[in-house]
Amino acid sequence: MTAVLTIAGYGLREALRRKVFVVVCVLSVAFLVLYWLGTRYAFHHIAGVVPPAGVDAQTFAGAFLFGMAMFGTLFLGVVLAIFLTLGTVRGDAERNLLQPLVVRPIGRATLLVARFLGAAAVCVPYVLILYFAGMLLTRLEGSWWPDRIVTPGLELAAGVLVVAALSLLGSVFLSSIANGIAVFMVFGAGLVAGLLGNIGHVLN
Amino acid sequence: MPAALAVSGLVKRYGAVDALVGVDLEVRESELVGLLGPNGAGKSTLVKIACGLVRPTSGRAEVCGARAGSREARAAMGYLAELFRFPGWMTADELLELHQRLAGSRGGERERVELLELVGLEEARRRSVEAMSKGMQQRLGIAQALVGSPRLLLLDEPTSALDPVGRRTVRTLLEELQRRGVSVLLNSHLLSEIELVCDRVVILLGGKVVSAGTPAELSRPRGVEIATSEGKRTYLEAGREDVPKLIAGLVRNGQDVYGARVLTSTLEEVYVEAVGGETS
Repeated sequence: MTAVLTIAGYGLREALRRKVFVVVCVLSVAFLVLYWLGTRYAFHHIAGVVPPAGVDAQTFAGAFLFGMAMFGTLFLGVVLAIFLTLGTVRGDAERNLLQPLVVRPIGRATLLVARFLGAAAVCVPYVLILYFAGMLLTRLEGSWWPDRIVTPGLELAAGVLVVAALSLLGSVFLSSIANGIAVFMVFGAGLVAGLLGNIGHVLN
Repeated sequence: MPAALAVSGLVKRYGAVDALVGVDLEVRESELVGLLGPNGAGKSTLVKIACGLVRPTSGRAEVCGARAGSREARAAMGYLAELFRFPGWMTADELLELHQRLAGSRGGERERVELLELVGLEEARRRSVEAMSKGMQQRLGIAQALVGSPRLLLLDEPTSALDPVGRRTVRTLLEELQRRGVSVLLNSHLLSEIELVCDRVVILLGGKVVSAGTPAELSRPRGVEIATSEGKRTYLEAGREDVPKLIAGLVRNGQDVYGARVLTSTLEEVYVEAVGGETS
């Protein structure tokens, strides 16, 4: 357990020192500012919104905008998860960073679990913060809440964790660049499949 | 007490390539063994098997009585890879602390300070790895390998990036470790280093041990050289026991003798003879 926490802490410190957090925070703040401006504009011009039959304009605009915010949150969370894990095994081994660690009396499974937990400790709070910030901005500007508050956020975080796990698995077999491309493609394919599935569901 | 490293009948195949073909080797307590051989002789494979990075095809490798690669074996050894890098954002102190935790060392700050002093990096304790020279990183690597007071130290080309002063520091360090009872397997191309510090030398060629022994055992007599008033004279067939007789003869003939030296082959000559001039 000590080894897991040590390696997870090492991963967190690495992200902190290599200014990953700074870049992520700056970009996330930029995203939230743009989202706030967009939401503010949309709700100030709500009269021009024509909702589908049976739905009021406020609900339609709120659900649409927050849906887009969730999409953005998922994308940013996935980018973060992939970049934190894409070179964990083979990438680090190719850069000769791994050898000094793996000869220590810790199992290889411990190393992988710890790196996954390290990535999860960054990605899950990040996704949840972004999700709730988007929700609050929507509420602030449009006085609208979604029906379910917590579950979609947790599902988003779980989705990002799945991508992190895939990226970690890929890092065992692929070099950093190949793994990054592969995981992004899998994510893109999953996203398109999900959209097509939803369209099919609505058509039915 | 079991040997620090015991290897017997070790075989490693990479597909059709035989990297090791039945290697037997032992590193006893406090012994410093030098591993020599041309590129591709199997030296790094042997070291990697000993530290559990590579599994042998067959044969046995034990570190302090435990199977190489097992948790017990890893806890008993320190390793410095030939090609290694540490995260540039870490300071020397943080790096050693990380390895202390992973090695289960309870040495704390005292051990870290002592190790950095040992490798001459006490002033660079708070310096990040990326701000260190290659030589400093190499010495930090040795300090890292010593975390947790290992009984066996596996060093793969530890002086490759060091300047002459740095090499001397490492030599002194190896002698100090020997005094402390640490066994060392030193893989190096620098024959002069090996000759100066190692108790025994093992020469590998094509995955086999082709020569082994103390540097004195491996060297061959090459005659006697005597400096006289008429210049240097070399007696190729003579040995140490012939020196008094030779000097007496020269003096009788009216020559002044300034010095005499018994010649033996250097480790380099022994090595070249053993590997038959092979370079890779």
